[in-house]
Amino acid sequence: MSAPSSPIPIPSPVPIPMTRRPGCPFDPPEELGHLRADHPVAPMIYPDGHIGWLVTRHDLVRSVLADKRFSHRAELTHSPFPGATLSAKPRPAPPGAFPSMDPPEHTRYRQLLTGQFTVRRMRQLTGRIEQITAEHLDAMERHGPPVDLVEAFALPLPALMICELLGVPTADRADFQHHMAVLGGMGISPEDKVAAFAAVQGFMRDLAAAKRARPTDDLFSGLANNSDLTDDELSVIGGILMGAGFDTTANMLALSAFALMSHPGQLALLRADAGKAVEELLRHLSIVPGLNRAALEDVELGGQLIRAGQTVTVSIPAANHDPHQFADPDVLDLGSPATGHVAFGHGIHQCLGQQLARVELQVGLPALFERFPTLRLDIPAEEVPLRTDMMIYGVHRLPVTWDVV
Amino acid sequence: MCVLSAPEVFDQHPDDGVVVLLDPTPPLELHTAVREAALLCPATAIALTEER
Repeated sequence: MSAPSSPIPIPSPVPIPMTRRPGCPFDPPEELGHLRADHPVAPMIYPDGHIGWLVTRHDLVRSVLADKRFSHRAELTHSPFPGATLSAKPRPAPPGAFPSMDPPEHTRYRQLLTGQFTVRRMRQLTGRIEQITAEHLDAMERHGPPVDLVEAFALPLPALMICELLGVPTADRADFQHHMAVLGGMGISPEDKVAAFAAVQGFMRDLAAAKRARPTDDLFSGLANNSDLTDDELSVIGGILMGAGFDTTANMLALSAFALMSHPGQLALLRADAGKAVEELLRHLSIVPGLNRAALEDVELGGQLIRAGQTVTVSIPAANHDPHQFADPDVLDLGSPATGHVAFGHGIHQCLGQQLARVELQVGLPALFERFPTLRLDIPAEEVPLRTDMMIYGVHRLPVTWDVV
Repeated sequence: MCVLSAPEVFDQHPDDGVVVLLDPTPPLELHTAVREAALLCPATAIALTEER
């Protein structure tokens, strides 16, 4: 591994930086900024001993994600997060697990789904999202302060929406939530991960059979009856969509609420232009720590030579806080354009559900602060339990209170 | 992304979500939005030619 003409010596491989400065829950790990400035393509060691690379500059992150020489096949990529995957060794993706495949396998599945998540279709859900939001705000009001905003608002809103969209009975939500927490956790034994995965698959398989027998007006029925997908493929796709809909937006809602309570001066800007504000929250908070690709051939990137077979991890928080791309990146400014952020990734695997997430955040956040203008933390900010043990960042609980009028 | 950046120029087919080009020669006032759409396109699938 030699750097052709790097002025600064290549550092020895380090694990992915995960440690945030105490008292700064919204800032990316400091080490990422140092790497971006000095070694934007830096050697990284993975928990299984693999030596790959960490990419931290915005332009380089985008070029990796758009480059077909970098594969997303599950059996080629090593995870930088300890105890995060189903097995210790990389294994091929099961049939249907399209995010972990390359074209043409990926293309076939993605084409089946793209039409279900168009901008127009997601905007048509606005009214229903407003309704579910209002119901949960009503329930919070009836309950009275304090409440845990994660449990009362951030988790159920996207969970109910994805259940409704897919046609999953909402009665099963609690079980699902538990399995998703196991699958999304770090440092969890492979046995526990496999058991949670199997439970989700079993559930989705039963659901597929039910939808084939008695179709209803939802996405999963459509897939079950208007495609040539097998039961195995359907159950995997269903599990992936549920997982993606559960965890990500829930954490963005809760962490955004935490950030807004900590920056109350920004609330006027949220009210003025929720669309713009949400993009800035997505950029600033960057709850997905990294995305992994594997080099299919030798590739020169940012002055370093990536060897075929090496895993490359791109840091989403580092790219979204790159001062060459965003002015004052470490300041949360809901009035500044976050154009070009990579919170949803980039390239052919860019988040399928991003329009749903946008609408949920654009509806949910303004409604929350409109209903409870005096919303504030009920515990000191430094005591809010952060999701430093999960693959998706956020908060485990967010106790809030407000003035009852 | 392009449907968000420049909705006057790009749409998605209601059945399959494939992008539909509404206006191959958009007026001047939309050029900034179209350039942004091309820059942000995750699949780098938007080619621009500028004539003067």
